[in-house]
Amino acid sequence: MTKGVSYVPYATTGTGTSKAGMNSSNPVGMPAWARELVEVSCTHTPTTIASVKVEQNKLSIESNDVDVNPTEIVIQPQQAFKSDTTGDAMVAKTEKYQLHIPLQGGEDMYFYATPMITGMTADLMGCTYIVSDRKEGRHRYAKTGTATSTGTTATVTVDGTAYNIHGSEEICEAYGTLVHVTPVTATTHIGYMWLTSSDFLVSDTLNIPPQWPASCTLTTHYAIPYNARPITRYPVAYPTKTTCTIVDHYKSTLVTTSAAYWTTALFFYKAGMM
Amino acid sequence: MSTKEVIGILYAVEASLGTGTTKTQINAAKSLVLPAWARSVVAVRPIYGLGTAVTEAESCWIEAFVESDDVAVQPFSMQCTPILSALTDNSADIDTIIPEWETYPINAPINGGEELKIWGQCGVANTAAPYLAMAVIVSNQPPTYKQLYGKTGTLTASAVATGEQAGTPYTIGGATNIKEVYGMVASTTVVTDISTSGYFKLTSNDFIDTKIPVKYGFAPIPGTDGTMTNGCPAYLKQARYKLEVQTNSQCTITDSIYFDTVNTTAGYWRTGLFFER
Repeated sequence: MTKGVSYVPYATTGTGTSKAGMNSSNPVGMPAWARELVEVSCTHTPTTIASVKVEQNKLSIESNDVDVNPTEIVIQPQQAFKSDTTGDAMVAKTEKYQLHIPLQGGEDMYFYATPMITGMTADLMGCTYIVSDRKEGRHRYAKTGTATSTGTTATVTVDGTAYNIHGSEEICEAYGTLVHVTPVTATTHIGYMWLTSSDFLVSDTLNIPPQWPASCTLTTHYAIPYNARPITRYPVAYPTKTTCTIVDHYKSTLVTTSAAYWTTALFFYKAGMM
Repeated sequence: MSTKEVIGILYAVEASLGTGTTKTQINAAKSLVLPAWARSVVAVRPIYGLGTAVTEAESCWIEAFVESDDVAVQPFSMQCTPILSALTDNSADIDTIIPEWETYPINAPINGGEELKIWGQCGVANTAAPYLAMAVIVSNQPPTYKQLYGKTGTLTASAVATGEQAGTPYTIGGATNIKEVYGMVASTTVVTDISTSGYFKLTSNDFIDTKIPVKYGFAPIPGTDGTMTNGCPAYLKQARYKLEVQTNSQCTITDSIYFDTVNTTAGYWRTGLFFER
């Protein structure tokens, strides 16, 4: 058995939400011996520390040679911090995302970084991928929701933007984030997210409890509200119709005077695809 | 033909545990109803945090409980990884660092429709009220593994001394096998330049093979640099250890902590375990 790891050189994102191509927007050729792209993980950091900014990007993978559509993944956010005169930042745990994309060897793949929240500082994001000479798991497709503001009113349900998955058979993982954009002294956001769809073959909503962003107290210099693992992940087995329209929702118990952003995302199997 | 597996996530809605040490039922003091299609409670994940920043010289200790009049899940209590206190200098800036949440397997068989009651209790009173919610993972399949039960020891104040300190014995009933142990320490007040490290020890005359050692390191607490305006040594993740220790059906366990290094203020420590019946 042969398993290799390689790195896709970083892309620099802008301050909007435009897609930026890694590897200078050039394709990344898979090794001739590779029979599966097993998993990916991304590391990212702003070019310069910008006071109070969160950085949340999604990775998307495209190819003309392999059916990877859709593969878009929320990457662990670098969390916002509170600063008066100076500031630090902390990098969250690097998440690994299993994909099990089947290969023949030699295919070209394109890797992109896309900011999910407007107004973030330019970010450098690269991707590490692992390939294997054998098939190790069922191919997982990936779709993200839209990063949505929590608003600043507690106990109100906020509906997200509906998103679709096509050819779906089953949702195999649900995950999400709840991040400060601008931390507010001595308070935080506490709430939960859930998915609804008339195309789920299970009668219940799919809950995605996020890790609540940490709070901090600032008087003079800086303080870091930090979560060791700001992205929360739940392996599930949620059968769906082949075309599945999903609406995500958020409801808070605590809010601050500065709205946070919440995002849901999922991995799914396609019917007939192994 | 076997039924295709469905795994879903239920949510016991967050509730404030208050600023005392009262055991509080979350989910608006209502039971969590399991879906009619569910045939096992696979695992739970306590979800917790502070509504405001951690207060200097306080650590947040939350114990979570899963109880039921319908399902034989008790005892099932879990000590959540503490949110450690912070050091402030003259600037009163306080970081808060929330550790990674843990997921605890239960593997309880159910018929569907039963009710669970989820509770939280703070081990020490906090100026900033913590909040607790719970993700409950269920499946439409019977459990794959044997059911687990959870018990914690007594939250014990630590003395400022290296060496061994004894805890309070605790008993697990109807037990056959301890499958996992864990433990954690938190200083009450962060101290500059001194870390806290060491290990826990569990002993019992009710371990079938008393030669099996149960000694395990705890996630250390680093010191801080006193020249900084603030410091928040943090646990990022709990240290958990899987093992197989067969026991008598009534098993009384004595826990103790051994400090290799200890800072100059007292704190608290607690052990916990998961066992089979």
